[in-house]
Amino acid sequence: MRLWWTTACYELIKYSRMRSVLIILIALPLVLILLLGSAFDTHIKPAKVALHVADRGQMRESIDLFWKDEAITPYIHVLVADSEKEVQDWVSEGIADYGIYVPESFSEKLLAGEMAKWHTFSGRYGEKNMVAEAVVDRYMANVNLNLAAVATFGPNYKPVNEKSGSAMVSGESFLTIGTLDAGDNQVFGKATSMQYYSVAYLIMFLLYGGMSAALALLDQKENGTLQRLYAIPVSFRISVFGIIVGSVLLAALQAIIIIAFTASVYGVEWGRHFGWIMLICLLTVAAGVGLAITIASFAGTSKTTQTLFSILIFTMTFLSGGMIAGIESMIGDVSKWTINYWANSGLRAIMSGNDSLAIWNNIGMLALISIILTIIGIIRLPKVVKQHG
Amino acid sequence: MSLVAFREVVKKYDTALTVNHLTFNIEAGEVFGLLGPNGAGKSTTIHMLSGLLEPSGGDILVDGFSIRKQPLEVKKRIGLVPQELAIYEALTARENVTFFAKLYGLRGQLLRDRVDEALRFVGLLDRAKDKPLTFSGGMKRRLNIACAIMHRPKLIIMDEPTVGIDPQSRNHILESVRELNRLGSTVIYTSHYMEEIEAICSRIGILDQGKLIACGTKDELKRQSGQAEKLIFEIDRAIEPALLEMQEHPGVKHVDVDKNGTVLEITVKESSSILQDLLFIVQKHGINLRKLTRVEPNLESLFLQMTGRTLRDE
Repeated sequence: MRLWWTTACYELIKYSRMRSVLIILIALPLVLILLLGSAFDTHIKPAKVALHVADRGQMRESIDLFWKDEAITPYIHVLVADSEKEVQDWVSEGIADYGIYVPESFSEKLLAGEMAKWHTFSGRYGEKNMVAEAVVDRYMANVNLNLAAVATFGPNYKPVNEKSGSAMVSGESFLTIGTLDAGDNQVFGKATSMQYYSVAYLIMFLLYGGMSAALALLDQKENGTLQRLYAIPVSFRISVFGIIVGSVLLAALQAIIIIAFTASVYGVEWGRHFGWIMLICLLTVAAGVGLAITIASFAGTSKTTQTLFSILIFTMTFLSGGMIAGIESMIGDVSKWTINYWANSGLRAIMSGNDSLAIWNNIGMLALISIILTIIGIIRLPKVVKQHG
Repeated sequence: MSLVAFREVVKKYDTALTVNHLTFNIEAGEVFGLLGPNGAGKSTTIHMLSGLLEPSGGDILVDGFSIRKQPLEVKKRIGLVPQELAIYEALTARENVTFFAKLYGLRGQLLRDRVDEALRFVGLLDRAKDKPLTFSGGMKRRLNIACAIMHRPKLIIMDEPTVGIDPQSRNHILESVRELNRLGSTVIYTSHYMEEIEAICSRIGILDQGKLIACGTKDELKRQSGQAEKLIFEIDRAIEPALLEMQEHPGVKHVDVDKNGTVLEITVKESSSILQDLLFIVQKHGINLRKLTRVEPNLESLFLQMTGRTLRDE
């Protein structure tokens, strides 16, 4: 055991010194997950709104109730300021995303039928400004509606929702959120966009990790170190096994870093079955290694292998919806012929807390593919590693 | 018993016979030079000896162990310096040697001592923490050697270890080979450079088209080829009686005179025994000797004579 473990450890040391490999295998997927996950994420984060209400008139109570409404709190986090200047300062310093000042004369002007308005201060983030403005507009629309009703039906008219002075029904959201947990997204299934792309790119880059085993063998054959390994008094199978294990360990490390990082920094919920997740990752890497060795046995050189395998991974990722979410609905069952499909489905089933049967269906298919590709890889391995293969 | 014994070794690729019934011995303590043009079967022979290739027929014994039946025992006794720079650019010099030393089973203090010893031997101990990326071609070649000797093998196989390096590093490597030999290792050395083979090898084998066409010490090979030494006299004038006297000397094989009659090319059996006689003849006839040159037969001409090709023929 010691010798293959020595080889595997030194493989890891070598990888750790190759900055480009680490960037491609670990940093790149994290960046892609962030970019695509954020770009397609319709989940709105709460905007911090600095608020100072100077108005002490009849509308004051309804204004205070409005900002405390449960329907608003998921989208607006109110910071109470002591003055209009403080509201302005907080927005300019970035303490608040948006600022609102309700003038002292607001109630008076409104009830006198004059033009009355809130003073608003936009912050640096357009998305947060939109959220806050939507809330303000909604309040104003309801106030105008009630005033129009009073003008039409007389002063005895009572608004439908006296509590907040708005037409909002408690619990009814006027802002869209983008997870299928809420049951309103046909694209990402039961996952958020961040979850969706975390899975897609974890699997894609684990396959790349599998390719590194075949490339390591070919590179060592090309630069002569494999020849030296043959000449040592150890069965060459042990040396080759050590090199492959080194790449698998790198892929495992890659998976742990991507999962841990996306969970802690991007807030991706991976579910509670870490063991199953690692099993899917391991099966994916095994399939990747088997496939890469098979390609390498025909390609002969590391450059050709890298090109062919990259095209294959790219195609499989595309067909399984890793680049265009929901592509399965356009291409039908073609995606089921990819490694990515079964690995992605398995991970997403774990994330969604599906029942074990649904998870094991995916893991079973992935295992079958991995076993077949590993067997083919083992058969073709001598062509890759033999000196005169 | 010989340290290495080739016994009717054959290697076939499809129908092509790359190594053709090779039989010869290498004794312990020798520096054995293996010569041959490209495609002579030199690399295939070395690959079979170091266990990289399986012979199609015959066997090779190293220290009494068969490469076919006990390959791991054979490999324990061998240190291979491949023609390629078989080192890892991402690892430091020390890590490179340590990695291969661990694969040879060295551990603990012994491992550290042997790694230091190997690096010191090739003059890289002060650069142990550096990566080969920062090394010159010669330093990389020396590291390549360090990775093959740290386990103190009985037999060191060096396959063209001086390809593409500067003269200083080449001298260092040649001196290392002599030192390894003095310390008790047997060395098999292949090179395209005849002068290297002549300088360090105690015995030489010449391979051509998979066959060993000559084997022996340099003197034995010269005798086998029938090549002789030459003495070149540059004189002020030729005198016929002096030429006749030289030609009739029993130690002289042949005398050639250039068209001016001032350069005599005298082929002799052994220069040391007749030089005095020839100088006496020149003096006796009042001839002024301007320059005297002694030309020994070299391996290059020997090789050309035996194979009809130069070593660098494709």
